[in-house]
Amino acid sequence: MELKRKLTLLADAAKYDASCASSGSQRKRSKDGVGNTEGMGICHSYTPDGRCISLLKLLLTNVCIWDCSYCINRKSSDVPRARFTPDEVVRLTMNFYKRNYIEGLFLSSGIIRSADYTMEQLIQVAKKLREEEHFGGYIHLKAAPGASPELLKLAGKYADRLSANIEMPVQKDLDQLAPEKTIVEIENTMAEIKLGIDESRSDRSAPAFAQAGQSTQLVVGASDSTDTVILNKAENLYSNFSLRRVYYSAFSPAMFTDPLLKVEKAPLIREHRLYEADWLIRNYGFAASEITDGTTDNNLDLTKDPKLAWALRHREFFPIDINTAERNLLFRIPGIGTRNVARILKIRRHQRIKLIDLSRLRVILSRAKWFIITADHNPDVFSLDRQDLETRLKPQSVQPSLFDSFVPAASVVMGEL
Amino acid sequence: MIQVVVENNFESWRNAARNLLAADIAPDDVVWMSGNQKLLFEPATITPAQKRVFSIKADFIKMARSVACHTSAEKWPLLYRLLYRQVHENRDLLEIASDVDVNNAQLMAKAVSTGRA
Repeated sequence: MELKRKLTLLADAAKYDASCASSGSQRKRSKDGVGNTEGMGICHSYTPDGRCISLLKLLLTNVCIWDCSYCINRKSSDVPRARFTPDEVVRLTMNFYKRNYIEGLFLSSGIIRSADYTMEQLIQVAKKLREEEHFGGYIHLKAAPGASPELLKLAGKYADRLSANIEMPVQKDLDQLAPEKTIVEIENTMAEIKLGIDESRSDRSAPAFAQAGQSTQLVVGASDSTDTVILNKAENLYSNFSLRRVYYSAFSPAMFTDPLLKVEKAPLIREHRLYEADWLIRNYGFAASEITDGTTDNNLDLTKDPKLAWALRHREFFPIDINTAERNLLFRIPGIGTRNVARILKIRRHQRIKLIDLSRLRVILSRAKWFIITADHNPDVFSLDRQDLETRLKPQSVQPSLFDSFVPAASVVMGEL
Repeated sequence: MIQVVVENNFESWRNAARNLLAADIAPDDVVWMSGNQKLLFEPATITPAQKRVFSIKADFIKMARSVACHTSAEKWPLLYRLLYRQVHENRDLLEIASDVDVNNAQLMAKAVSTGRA
């Protein structure tokens, strides 16, 4: 098969993987090497279908011996199959990198023969890039669940980030949709990677191991699992395996015929709300249970962000005085982010903070003003206990989605008045 | 009122600002002119009585270098006002991100930055 055709097939097959950040690593170019990795990512470019590219996202092959029904490359799917040789991937990466198309490589693969064999193939690519081409750019490798510890060690030596995808939050879902995968096995792989990272961090002379840490991905909306289950799992993964990120990928049912799967597309806004909740867990000191307690049918409210939803359910915590409250309380105010909390704490040392100060800090006052006390008069805080606060907070107009297809009114179709 | 002529670069402003500060001239009393403006009167030359040393946070110098690249004519008076206030009012003025002058300077610095730290 021609290389270009392979690239089309295998780059397209990789688009379902959501993790495309390349931040968090640092790698200097060696003397006669090519490229380096920076803490900040480059500007991303976008394909006509809305995907963002900064990494060359590829599957080594989309042949797979597993039959996970939510995955387009499952054994029983009838997609055309292709396979790169490691040399081809190395050549592509170097050529694209030198042309400034990409800042790194994201390499995944279907499982061929066994987890170990697949892992060996992936490592071969990374090893060639680092040792033969002296490539200093970012490399993200997938860790095949169940790969042997020795191979994971090797993978971590060459890659900036490793990720083992957990896909489903509970074993029940995996049993139903991905019978070959087990949570236990995936978590063992994560634990193995964590071990490698911890070892290299604790000893400064040790060789670097997956400097940008590890991440994972959860498919949302393919099974019945609620946001509560998903967020609890994510929290548990963060604390047990010190993951850098959990990525959420809204399930899209196109081309799937499995009767066990949901037929409707998971709304992208659900994915967005999960990311917001994820940030609250990682950076704002929220527990997953706090975010999900009191939600209707255990799912996040799609119409407002989880912090605002929490604040409305827990008005007993408010109002919070901007000038005296502790950091962890400031984190709870809707419309104020971590950076503004840091600024507020600094300003407080010199002067009392008024509403105008907050607006200069670009605090989202439309959300924050109901919950705070400032040095000057804030009339909106008196509405805090009103029953209709929730309706007042609703946006007046709705941003239409670029991706919703136009649906004509039924009456037009039916020819009715 | 004192007219000060500056070239459009940071070093030129820095030299002028040093002299003004040493001579204890308030920001409101200074008119900053660019090098290519025709003047009715000869610009005053400020010679401070004695050399004085001011210590200013390095963060400010770094930010001022960026602000100096902005096209706005407001940048020189703004920078001098910030400098003066840091000396006379609050050494840690830059920590007050909601202050009008600090806020404006940060926006100007951000407008010309490359996004890299």
